[in-house]
Amino acid sequence: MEDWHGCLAGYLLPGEYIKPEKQYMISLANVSVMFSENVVLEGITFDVSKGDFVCITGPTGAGKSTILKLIYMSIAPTSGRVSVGEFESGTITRRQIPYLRRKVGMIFQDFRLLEDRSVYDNIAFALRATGHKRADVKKRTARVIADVQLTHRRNFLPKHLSGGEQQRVAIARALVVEPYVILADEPTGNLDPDTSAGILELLLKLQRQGTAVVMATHDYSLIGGEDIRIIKIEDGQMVDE
Amino acid sequence: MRRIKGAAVLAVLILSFAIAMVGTSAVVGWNGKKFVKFLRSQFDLTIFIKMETPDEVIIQIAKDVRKIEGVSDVIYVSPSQAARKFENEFGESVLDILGTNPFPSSFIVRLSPEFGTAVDASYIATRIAALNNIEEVHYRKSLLVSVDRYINILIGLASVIGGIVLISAILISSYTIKLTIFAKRDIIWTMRLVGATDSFVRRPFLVEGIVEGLMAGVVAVGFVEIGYRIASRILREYIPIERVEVNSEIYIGMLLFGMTLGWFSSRLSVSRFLKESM
Repeated sequence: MEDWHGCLAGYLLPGEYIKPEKQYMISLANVSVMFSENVVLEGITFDVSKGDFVCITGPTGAGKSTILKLIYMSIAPTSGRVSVGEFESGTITRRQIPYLRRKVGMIFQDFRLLEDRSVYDNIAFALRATGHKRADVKKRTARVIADVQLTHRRNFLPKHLSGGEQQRVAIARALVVEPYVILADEPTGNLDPDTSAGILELLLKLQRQGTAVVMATHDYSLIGGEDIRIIKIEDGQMVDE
Repeated sequence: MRRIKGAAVLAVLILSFAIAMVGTSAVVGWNGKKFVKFLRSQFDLTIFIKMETPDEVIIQIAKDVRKIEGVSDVIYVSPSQAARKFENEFGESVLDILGTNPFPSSFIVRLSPEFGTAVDASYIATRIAALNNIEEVHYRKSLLVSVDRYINILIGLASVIGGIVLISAILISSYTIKLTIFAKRDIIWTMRLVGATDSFVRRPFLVEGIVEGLMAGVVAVGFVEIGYRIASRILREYIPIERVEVNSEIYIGMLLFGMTLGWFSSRLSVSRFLKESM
């Protein structure tokens, strides 16, 4: 029934159906960003639906991270429109941004974990900071630690983990709030090829479970052979999709 | 973690200096006010009654004067008491010199300290002089005017210095707390990353600011108390230091000021930090 939103029983002839319009979670429509006089992005348009895996590629400085910042609304477009779920760049207020971010999990090249907290606390922190109850925090954190296969290291500090493990903690922290999209900014930038492949496999697994993934990377070799939508950015413009 | 603890200890110490500065200003101000009150309470007016005024009229005058706003006490001085006072002051009896007592009945009128200004004294003197059977109302008008002028200068000076001390305390504490918040920027960043609201991010910093302010207040009270004791020992021979009062109200005020300062500075710094980051 999920794909038959337009079908109204009793109003259609047998065998007839109306195909529903695709529901986009994220939509960028003719988005441009300028910092002072510099054009950082120009005329960017693409959509992301549930379960999509979108890879934004391009050389360093092309504007990949800026696109992710637009999606988690750290910056606003100079022109055009960004919509993420029910939130729109033109109308979102400062107070609403935290609620948007609860639906958008983010991971970064440098992991950005709290160095003085254990794996468990780093992940649980995301729930505590959004006002979840203690029992809920415990249950959901334990589950997501198991999902990223770090249960045996739950009490370790980040400095005692490998780069790949730290990135898995970051993914778990992003996942624990049950977002509908994961934004990954060069998630394998600090990792060796084998570990990078493991992280990509984990992200693909999330995609298969229904979470959309938008990944910015300049590592073309990483994504070869996978069923992934690729958006190429050069000098702030989309050159290929 | 060690960096965060170090920043917090530094913040408490710097805050305590700021609060001690304000506390010392409060001690000086409080005692200055007390001294002015004492000085004003020393002023009195003397009312001379016309000769041959009957006793019942004199009693009525006393009642009328007592009713005037600002009068705290009215003391009757009979002609014979005035003569005795003259004899005590000059060593000779006025009766022996003149053969008669020239002193009229009089009253010494004490004013409430808050009515001890030259303007109030002049107003009260005018009202008394308007009563019947009053020969003269005498008071040291020029002295009162001078005292008022100096007190106004001192109050102005104290207000400026107090204001500078207060603003410095706020700036110092705000800057110091900003440093402690900067030391925790990773936590703030992560909180915002996962969707914590601004008020949720702010809350622990406000609580911490209040606690640090309270701790700084306690340290500052210690500074002022120790400073007072050292000053007492050194200055005892030169000024009546025992009259300088450092009371518990000032100490409680310092603790409350510390908490308010901690809260205010934290709020200011976190809000600024939240606006700048992400």
